[in-house]
Amino acid sequence: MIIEAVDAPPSGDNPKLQKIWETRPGLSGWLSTVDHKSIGIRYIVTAFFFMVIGGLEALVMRVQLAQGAQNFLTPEQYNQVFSMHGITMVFLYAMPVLSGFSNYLWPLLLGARDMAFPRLNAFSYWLYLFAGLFIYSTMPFGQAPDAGWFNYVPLAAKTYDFGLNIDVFTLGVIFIGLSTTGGAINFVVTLMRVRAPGMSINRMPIIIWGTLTASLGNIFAVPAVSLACALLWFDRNLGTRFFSVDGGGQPLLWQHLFWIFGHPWVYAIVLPSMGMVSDALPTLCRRPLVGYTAVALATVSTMVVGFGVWVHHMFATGLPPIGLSFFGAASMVIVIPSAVSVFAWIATIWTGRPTLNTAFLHFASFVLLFVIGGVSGFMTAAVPLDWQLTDTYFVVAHIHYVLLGINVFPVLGGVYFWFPKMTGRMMNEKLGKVGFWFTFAGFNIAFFPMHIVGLLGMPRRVYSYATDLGLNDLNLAITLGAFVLAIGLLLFFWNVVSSARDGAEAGKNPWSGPTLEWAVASPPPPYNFAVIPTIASRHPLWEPYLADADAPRSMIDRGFLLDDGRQTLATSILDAEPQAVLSMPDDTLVPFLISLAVAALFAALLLHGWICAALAMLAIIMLAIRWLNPPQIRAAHGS
Amino acid sequence: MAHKPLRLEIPLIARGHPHGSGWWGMIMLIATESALFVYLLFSYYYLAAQIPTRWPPGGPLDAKLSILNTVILLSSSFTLVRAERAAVGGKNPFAWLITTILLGTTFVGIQAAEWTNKAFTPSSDSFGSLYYVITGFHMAHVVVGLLMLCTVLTWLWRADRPDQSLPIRLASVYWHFVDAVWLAVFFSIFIFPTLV
Amino acid sequence: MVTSSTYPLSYLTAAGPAARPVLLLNWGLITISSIVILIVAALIIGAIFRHRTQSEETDAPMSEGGATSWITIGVGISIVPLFASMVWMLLVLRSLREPDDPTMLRIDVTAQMFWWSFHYDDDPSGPAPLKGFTTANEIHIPVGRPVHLRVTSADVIHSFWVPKLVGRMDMIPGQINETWLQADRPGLYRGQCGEFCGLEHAGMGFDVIAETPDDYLAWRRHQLEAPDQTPALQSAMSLFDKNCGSCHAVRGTMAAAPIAPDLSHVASRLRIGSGVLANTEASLRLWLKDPDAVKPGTSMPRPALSEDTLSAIISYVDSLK
Repeated sequence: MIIEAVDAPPSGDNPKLQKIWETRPGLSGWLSTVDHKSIGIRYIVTAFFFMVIGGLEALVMRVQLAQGAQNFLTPEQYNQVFSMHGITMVFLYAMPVLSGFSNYLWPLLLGARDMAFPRLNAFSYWLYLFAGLFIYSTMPFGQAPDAGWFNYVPLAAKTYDFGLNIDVFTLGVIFIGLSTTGGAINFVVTLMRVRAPGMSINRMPIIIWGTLTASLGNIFAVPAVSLACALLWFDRNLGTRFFSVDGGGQPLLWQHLFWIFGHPWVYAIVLPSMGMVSDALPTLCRRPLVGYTAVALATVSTMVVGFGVWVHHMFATGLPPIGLSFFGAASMVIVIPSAVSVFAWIATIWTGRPTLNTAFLHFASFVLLFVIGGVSGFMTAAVPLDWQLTDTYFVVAHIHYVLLGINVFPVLGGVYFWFPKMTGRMMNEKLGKVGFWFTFAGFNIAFFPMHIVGLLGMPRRVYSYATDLGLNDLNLAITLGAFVLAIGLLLFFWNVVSSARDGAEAGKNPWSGPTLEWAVASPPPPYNFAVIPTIASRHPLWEPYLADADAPRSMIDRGFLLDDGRQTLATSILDAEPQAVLSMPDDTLVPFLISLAVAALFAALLLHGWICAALAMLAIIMLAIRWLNPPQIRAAHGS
Repeated sequence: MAHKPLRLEIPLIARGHPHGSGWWGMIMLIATESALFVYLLFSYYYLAAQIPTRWPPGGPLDAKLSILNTVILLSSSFTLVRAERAAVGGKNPFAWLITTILLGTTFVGIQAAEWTNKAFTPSSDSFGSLYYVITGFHMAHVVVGLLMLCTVLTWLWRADRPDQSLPIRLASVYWHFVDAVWLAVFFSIFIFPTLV
Repeated sequence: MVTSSTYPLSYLTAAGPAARPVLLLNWGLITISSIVILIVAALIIGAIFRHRTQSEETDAPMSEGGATSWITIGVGISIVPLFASMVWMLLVLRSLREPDDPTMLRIDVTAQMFWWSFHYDDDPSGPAPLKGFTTANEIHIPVGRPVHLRVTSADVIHSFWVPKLVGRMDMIPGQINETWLQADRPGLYRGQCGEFCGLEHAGMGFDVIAETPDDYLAWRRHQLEAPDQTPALQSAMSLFDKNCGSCHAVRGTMAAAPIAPDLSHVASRLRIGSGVLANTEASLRLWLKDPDAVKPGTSMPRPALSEDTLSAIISYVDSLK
């Protein structure tokens, strides 16, 4: 077919495209939408909901630990709360919130009308929601997972933990893994297929590199934990011998499989947010990112090396010295790509002209918190030192500095930065700054003393501690800090809700940003771009300022219309040369229905309802076939 | 100043075209499932290395039926290649496709029969658990492949135009992947114990 | 003689060669880390504040000035302490290798939920050969002599950790890991389980008491002796055998079951309940009345004793010095 470039309407509005792409109103539209923007916001809202639950769990733990020898929680309650806190934050908040941002932003950043697999996108979200509900389903009955988010055997084996707790964990982790894998595949193929013409891979925003790397990492890492959970479920329910010592099983096999997943996973939950900062921070500093290529390469190499350091979670398990030396050295070397990014960000602020708004404060503090978390990691990478620090609160300090520092702070800043695009309104700056200082102060008061408490020998995963260990005062301070942090987050949520109602109008490009999402209305129309743009540089909207007069310019107001149904442009992998016009699917209820069937399957497996499980499996197969029916056949036979 | 072309002649790809996104989606699916089998075989070799006595503990397994099954599965890949070539070339693929499905079903049947004539169970010891779970995971993937092939068969039969070739290409690359996994499984369970 | 410390579980005051080499590395890495944090904080704050004094001309973005030297210089400088630390770490790792000493004291440690079983090997070195024996939750070692530990678990994964003497070594069922420690001065060194093991992971402590070689010998010889069998305690002893002997062992009596802590000479220990209670009559009474109330999740069932039986058993246990 022939396609011709046309001029976009000045307002960006195209009623024909609007009708083609918009979601039907009402419940059926809400359940069947495949619009990446709706799905992205859903991911973010659901993730924040789980973050609040995980945060409440943390506050409950901190009340128990504010002083030694307290009885606010029983040991069993504490074990369930700390396990669910970890599971919730790591699986149900950290990855999904970044999936949400990436889902929302990617097609807008790439100049496309949607992701490569819009229905898979919806499916990944529904799977996530139902997996989260599944994981929490037994907590009201006091049967939540209670062996930690890392769930070591033999403690998690049937002999020592015979209730439903661990079965919920194993099935739940497999369940959420389906969502993560589907999302990861979607991101990779989207990157390969639907970038706007001219957006070669060295012109993509760093968040694209971050999410791409995380997705490729997940594709190869998630099967390890899914397998570990499947093998444990088999041990617990079918009597197999993978992890039980009598019969030739090995407890350490669990740890290997879990950490082969676990270590790449911790990079997957921070590389996209690092990418967010690498795009938003330069915008607020009024200059391009320093060292784009170096940062892109650092992103990829962090993930690659990240597959080779998992044993550093197992330094105390009695491994031979040569293994310890290799993994210890590798765990130190992995600092280098992170250092590249840190200096890139510092240089960007130093040589730029920073706008000191709330978003910027979050991004600037992120750099500092990243470094603090990084050096505590560097310390635990020193094997003999790890033998004293592992399983103490020093590691708790490290993980929270890296998790909140490199995920939560960029996410909060990212909300301040992209909220105007998502809602068309600005957030309240004054309230934002107050909230930031509460968050920043509360975070450091809560977590910095944990380094010290760990050096003084407080073990982790304890429901209480003796009063003669010298730990009481610091623990009290930590608890108080946690509540200050909670206030900061409350202020953030209040800002979101009140600004959505009556924030100042944002306009297309409130930050005068360089990338394509700022070229469309706020919020964007359902079809994103009235015409598909053509890209000639990394910073299309800054070309008038940055580029020479005779350099090629991006074409944003003129491009391919593609309005014969839902269509977007497919381009080549490296150089984004146009290749084909893709026709995209309409809204459909099938992803929602299949997710229900998957939830039914997992519930049946949990309760040993084998016939129900078989029926659920059948429903899944039939719905999958329905989903995959090629359109020509559907049109010809009306099925 | 170089202008991008304002007029292009490029194909419209309905969902299901050889150059569509589905191909890469299937490749990614194969990547993640390959990783799953890599980790499964890692577990196999890890547990095997920890057993001080012989492996398998009950002595080497009788490979005859599995060798037959290997031949059957490899043949099914061959017949599927012929089916794919026929479909892409606009010719009738049904005979080759049905043969592939029959061969695949025979594989499943023989594997199930193998399961019933073993002296050990999944709960006997680590080797028993590994044997049943590894061959079971593989068999599940074969069954999914058979479902894919049957579905493709139905679509091709009901389709307006016989050149709807992408679905068979997707099912085909998946099937060859399942075949390759079997070779790794066969090596690990039947050949590796004779080498150590 | 036994000294305690303000921070009994802190490794920052090491007392032996299996822990001390780590201290210098520890302070070195803390220093490097602190310097890095301060430099980065200064750069960020400096980067923000240097623009306050400049006049804001336009809002237009600046061009891509080559500031990549920041990265090359910054990373280049960082690599030096990074690699130095890595080499240093490998050297310390090597220096912690167990000494090749045939006169090492050898103890087998088996962890269970939630207590520690210690079995001393026969000790042929020294003037007179000493036979092996089993005890629980508290060990004594001679100052200046390396102790070889073979550690394992009878149920889930635990970890052996005496911060002032040695870093963690996991105790994994079906596997025997080896580690070693040595105390260079007399004192009380607290140990704690270092791997989450269930309900009472927090309540799984133990004590290592380092003594002069003579004191240690005296203690060790005493461990092998049977308790005094005064006639007054005869009936108490039979009550103990009846109610406790099916799980607990006391050397030289009928009570010989090994599935719970060995109670020979338990009255001479500093703490009971694997570090959860001080060893006083009042705490023993509390413990025996309802172990689960003191240490929820303990494996010890409630003895359900009448007051008379309880008092008798307490008096017997108190006699096991």
